[in-house]
Amino acid sequence: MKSYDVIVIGAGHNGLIVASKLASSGRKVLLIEAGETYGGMARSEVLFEGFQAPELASNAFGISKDVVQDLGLSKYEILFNEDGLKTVGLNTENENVIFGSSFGKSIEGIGKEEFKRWKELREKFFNQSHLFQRLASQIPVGSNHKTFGSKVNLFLTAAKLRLQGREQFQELLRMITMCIADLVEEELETPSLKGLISFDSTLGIKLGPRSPTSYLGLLYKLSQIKASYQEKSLSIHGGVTSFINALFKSAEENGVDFVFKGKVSSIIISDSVATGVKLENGMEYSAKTIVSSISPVNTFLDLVGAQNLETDLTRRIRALRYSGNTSKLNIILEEIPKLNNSQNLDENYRYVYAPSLASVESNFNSLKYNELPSDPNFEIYFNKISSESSLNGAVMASICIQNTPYSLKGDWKNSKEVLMKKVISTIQKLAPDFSKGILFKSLLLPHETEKKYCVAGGHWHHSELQIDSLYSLRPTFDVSDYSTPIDGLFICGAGTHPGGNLFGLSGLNAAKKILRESIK
Amino acid sequence: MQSVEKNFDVIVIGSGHNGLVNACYLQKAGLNVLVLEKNDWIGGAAVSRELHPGILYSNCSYVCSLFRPEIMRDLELPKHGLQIVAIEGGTVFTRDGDYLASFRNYHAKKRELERFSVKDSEAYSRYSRDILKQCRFIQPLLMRTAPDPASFKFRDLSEMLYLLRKVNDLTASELADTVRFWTMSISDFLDEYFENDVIKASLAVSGIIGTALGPMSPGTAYVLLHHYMGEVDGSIGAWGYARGGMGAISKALTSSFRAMGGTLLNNSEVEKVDIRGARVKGVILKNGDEYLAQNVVSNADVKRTFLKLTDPEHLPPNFVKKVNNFKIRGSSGKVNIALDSMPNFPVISDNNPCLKGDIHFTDSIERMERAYDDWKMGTWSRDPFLDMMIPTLTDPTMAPPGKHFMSCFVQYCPPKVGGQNWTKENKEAFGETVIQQIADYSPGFKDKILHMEVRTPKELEEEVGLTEGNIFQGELTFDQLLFNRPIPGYAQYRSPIKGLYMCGSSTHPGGGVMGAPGRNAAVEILKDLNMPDSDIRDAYEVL
Repeated sequence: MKSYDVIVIGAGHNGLIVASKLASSGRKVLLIEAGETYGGMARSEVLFEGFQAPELASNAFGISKDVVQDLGLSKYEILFNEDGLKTVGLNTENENVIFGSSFGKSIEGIGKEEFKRWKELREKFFNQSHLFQRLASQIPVGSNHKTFGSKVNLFLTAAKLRLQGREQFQELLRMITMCIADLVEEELETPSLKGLISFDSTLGIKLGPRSPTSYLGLLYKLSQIKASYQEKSLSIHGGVTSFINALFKSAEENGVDFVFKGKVSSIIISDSVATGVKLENGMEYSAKTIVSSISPVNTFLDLVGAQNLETDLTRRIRALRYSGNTSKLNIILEEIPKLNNSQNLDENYRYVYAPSLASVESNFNSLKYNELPSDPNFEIYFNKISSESSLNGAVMASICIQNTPYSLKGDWKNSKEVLMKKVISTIQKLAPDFSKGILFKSLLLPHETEKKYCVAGGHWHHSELQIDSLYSLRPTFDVSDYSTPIDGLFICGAGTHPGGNLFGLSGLNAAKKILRESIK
Repeated sequence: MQSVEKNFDVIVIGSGHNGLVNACYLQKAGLNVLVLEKNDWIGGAAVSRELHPGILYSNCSYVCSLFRPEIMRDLELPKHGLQIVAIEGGTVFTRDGDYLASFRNYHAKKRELERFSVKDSEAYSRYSRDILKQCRFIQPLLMRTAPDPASFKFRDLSEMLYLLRKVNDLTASELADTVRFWTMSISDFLDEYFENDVIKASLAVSGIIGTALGPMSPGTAYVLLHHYMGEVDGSIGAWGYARGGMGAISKALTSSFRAMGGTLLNNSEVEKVDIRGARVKGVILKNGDEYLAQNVVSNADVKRTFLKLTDPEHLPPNFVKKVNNFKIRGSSGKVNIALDSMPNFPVISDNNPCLKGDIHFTDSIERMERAYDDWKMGTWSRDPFLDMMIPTLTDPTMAPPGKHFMSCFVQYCPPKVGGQNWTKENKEAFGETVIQQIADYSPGFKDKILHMEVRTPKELEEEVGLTEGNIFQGELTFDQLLFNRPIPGYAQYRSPIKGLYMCGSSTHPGGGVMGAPGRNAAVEILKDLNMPDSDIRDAYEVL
């Protein structure tokens, strides 16, 4: 049996970060991945005629600056969009709003007064997102008493927020649990602007704009924008892949060993101490430290097993809400289509179809009952294909469809086609030539994501990013500081604080914790 | 008209239960108090009125649990005739022709749950233990003024410290459970305990009553707590009928108030609070009469108080904006019915004690949530949720023998229909929707109706004065609780105007026939007047 200092399970971005960071401290690290290659849900797949692209993660709001600096990733090529990402809020009346980079620093398509109100509101939003940004890079105050530093930080964060001024502090305490619908309706008028903000607040989260606490979804997103490179975002053209490649190279250079196509079947535990892992093919590896970057549900229920856990923890993990609610439609087109108003769809923009608050809310209504939305909301990125293959000059449209139920009432057999048709016919209304040039299309549903990417529920964030599962409560309070009741076993996936998107801080925080606690 | 002196120490606008509690405490402390009521009946939304000959209607609030026992004793309400009788049980009728009963007896209740799911019956012990813990945590907070977390005053800091200590007393796991409980949706919360949909639906009821949220909205688990934190005869979470209808509470309070020498005037609608030089001088009535007082306490909700009864010119513009943004949403209606005889429910025997409690026809969370979806679209629910009671099965003083009063609380019912005011046709259609739902389970029900009163948010606003007909004078979401209720910085019953106070359910700890806002406001007013509040007892220790 081969022996290592550390075994990391799962080569998603968090797994790569932990592996690279721990290897750079001189530890002998093995990274085991079930898939054929690295990248987890951001990995590239062959989609059509040899063309490769990330099937799921088409773009990321933020990658943490801390991760890039800590791992020295800037020496590798990470493709950024220097102008930042602009978003166009589409609607069938052609009254589109164009949302400037850094979440609407400038907006085209609304009146002067409205922009003035938006500016104030945006400033408030960003001010309040400071709370999250500060907490994101900290190990949460946990159930054990080794978190004194985090407690001090929590207190300092509260003090700092108070020092912003009495009025701002009161507004924060009032707004933080509110629904985004009330907040935008208190200040704004433009339907498409309200729709766009509601969409961004609830994307990937099982909440509607009228659900209390949906504003937190927005704060979360803004804190990621702030903690990343505010003005510039990952490039739509290969940005995600360049980031994942940089992480892989960094891990490789630090001396991490890799095993691909190795699905871990269990973590070997004796007397509540993790000593190694066992693969499905029968191979075994031993290590003093095991770090799991896969979903907490898979980690605890499949790899550790209820027999090795306290009943209460098992119950809490079972109670996590981890059903995915977003699906991904990839379409390859002969050329980039034109909008109704004969403008070219720009490949440097993000397009969102969420024409109004009511539309986003009614989408969520369908999700509640596990039904298909009648007029689905979605976002699109267009990505020009410039490989040497026969597809040169074609365009990939990556479409992320919000509110797709994990377990549909009835079955998916026909509904999959229906959902695709609905989305395409909406795009058709906005860009009439869209469906003429379709060379290839494929839709990945949450339950398919679950199977293909080995993540329980197929949830992009491993479990819901809601108020009762953030910070010390993520994934559950007793394992929120990355350590577990099993000695030597740590967790570091998106299911831990702060989680979400390609942020990477879950991995970095966990690595710091492990460096502090475990002897080489 | 009897001649009344025009000069008082304190004027209370509105004779709702909180106004009366406030008036009683202030009168008891030695102040000369006048209560002004616009209607010819007393009690705001805690009333019993004879709307059909011989039959008393609790036509707004209909059950009691939250009313603080400390207040009952302080004001000697039992001596003035108040009696609360605990409710025996309750039932949910299911669409497949069965029913799920509940009983006050714990073991009987568990046995009945077993009929639907053995696992859930076991989970029920864990569930009630966890809820009871939360009730114990929150009860002492009800009778304390919330601290202002943005203030550096000694009293706020020491009260914050009290809260921090309370939180610190919890174990990590209790704290995590508490935070989750205060923020989760009731549907998610129940999913962690139960598997059976009927059982979940029967328990989710308390999470939505009176609020403009569905069972799947985060924050509704707290609303459930708000309905559980009361007690009858020391039994936490129990509900009861006031003998003689909910008006009996107002009657007892009025009697106590008058016995202490207080003055109460009916048919005296206040037009404006008289403010001169940033200080209250008194009030002016619709009929032109003026009464003078250095202190005015408004029992009306925060919107009515500051947008209608006060001239905005006296208030800071920022404050007015925040009052405008305060969420008071009409979400419920009421259908009150006088019955010729007891309605028959074929699946259940007539003398089953569970009929003496709350009767529901909504047997799944999804139906409840869909009812809410209709409301979001601006219309009343096509398949509404009913909380139906027949108090006359327990209290013989409200109707002649054999006849009954039935109270149906209906959710959801919007303040406006599709953005338009309620019309007579809409109101009738709404009433018919409710009656039809009952008749589906009780053949011949329609023939037993002697008289029926349909109340939409419009009537509740016009008659009682509740903005949008919201029974809690403001949504019970976290952005409007504790130090945020009604408005951050003004959560201690004071207003920007000297001498003008609030004591209604818009203030901490919020709605329900609880009396705590009125009592807490009295403590603050006495503090401002440098008078002792030794006659106001603190919350009982929770054992």
